[in-house]
Amino acid sequence: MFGLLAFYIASAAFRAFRAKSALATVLLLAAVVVMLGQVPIGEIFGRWLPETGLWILRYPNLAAKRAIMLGVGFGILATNLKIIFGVERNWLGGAGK
Amino acid sequence: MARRSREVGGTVNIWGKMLNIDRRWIFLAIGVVSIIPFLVGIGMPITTTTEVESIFDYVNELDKEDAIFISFDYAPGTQAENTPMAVAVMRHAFYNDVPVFMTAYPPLGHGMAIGALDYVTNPALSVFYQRVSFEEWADFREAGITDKDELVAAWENDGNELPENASGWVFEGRDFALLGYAPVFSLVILGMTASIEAQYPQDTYGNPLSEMPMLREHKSLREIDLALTTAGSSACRAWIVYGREKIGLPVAFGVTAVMATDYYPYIQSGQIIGQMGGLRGAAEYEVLLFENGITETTGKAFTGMDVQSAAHLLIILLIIMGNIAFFAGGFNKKTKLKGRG
Repeated sequence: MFGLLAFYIASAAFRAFRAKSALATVLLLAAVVVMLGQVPIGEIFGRWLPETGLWILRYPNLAAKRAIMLGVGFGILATNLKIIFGVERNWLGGAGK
Repeated sequence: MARRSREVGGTVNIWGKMLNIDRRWIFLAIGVVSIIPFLVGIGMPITTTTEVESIFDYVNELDKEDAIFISFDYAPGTQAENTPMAVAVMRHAFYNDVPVFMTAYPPLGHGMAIGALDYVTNPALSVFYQRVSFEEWADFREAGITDKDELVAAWENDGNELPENASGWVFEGRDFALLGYAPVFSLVILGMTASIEAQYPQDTYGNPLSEMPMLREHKSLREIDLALTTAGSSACRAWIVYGREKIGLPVAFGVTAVMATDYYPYIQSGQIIGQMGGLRGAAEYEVLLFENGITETTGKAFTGMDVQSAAHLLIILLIIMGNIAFFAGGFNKKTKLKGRG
């Protein structure tokens, strides 16, 4: 069931993954390096490829994931405090009235 | 096809035709490159990473005095990725005589656990462990023979012979206990920090845990040396919250490839000792087992990596072709595509 994704990802990547801007190009190159670095055939292009792929996962990816987790955590904390102190009352119903 | 190619900004050229290729051709190509490597068996070498090596080294240091949990926190949808991880670690534990408790977070994980245990102990395979049920060795248990080495010696002196291809004996209740699924599993983990038996009075087959030597030696998660959660969802986090953070239980992750990126922060923070990410992680563990003489061959994950190599390469080629057609055809400047993919 999970393997069905491969078919749709292949089709979607062909149609939608475009290097339209500098940021999109960086994303595309990172994706190619990680995808090739994660499979044995990537080593045909040299050890640099899997090592670069791992570096992307271990550092930029980790930093981004940690930022998201911290952001979510602070968001939950802030919302909880707003509810506790009565700043946020929409959950009681009657919002906008 | 000709009519469809005109939909691309009214332009009929090779680039327009390429961009509007019927997606069924792409599906067919993925299908072909997924099947051929299974038939041909390329066997490209796999380099191991520190994330997996750390789990292997940790399990390798354990012996019969220790015990581990393997939790089947996934459903059949991710079986292809998760089961090889569980099978590899189970084989490693059995090789070192380390007792293995097996649990499941979702109800369907229960069947996954049974399937993995049956696979490792399947006599039809070239490599397997000979399973001895709880009832079969009841007399030895009642005689107080529970140490693995003494038990194997007494069992073989009793006239039992290890089959030719078998890697060793595994005794139910001494080497493994299939605890299976229990509702609201995160609270079950919390409960097991005080008592495993309180959460699971019986195993899946109705055998009382109180009579199992491995339970008597390891009464709670505080006496467990590792919990490996093989997960296809965020269920694995429950082991961090209730196992690692509450009682300092060493936890390792075996997660699907799409989830693997989410959990790198846990590795760096030291909250998990390592992570097997997707089929690649399982294949790395199989390579480590093979290189260290624990298994005679690699397993399904290693074979599956050839398929992944071919599929990844094809997807990258498709991305390159799509970009060439997009820019060479000038669609980035003047037209709006009507993609059907």
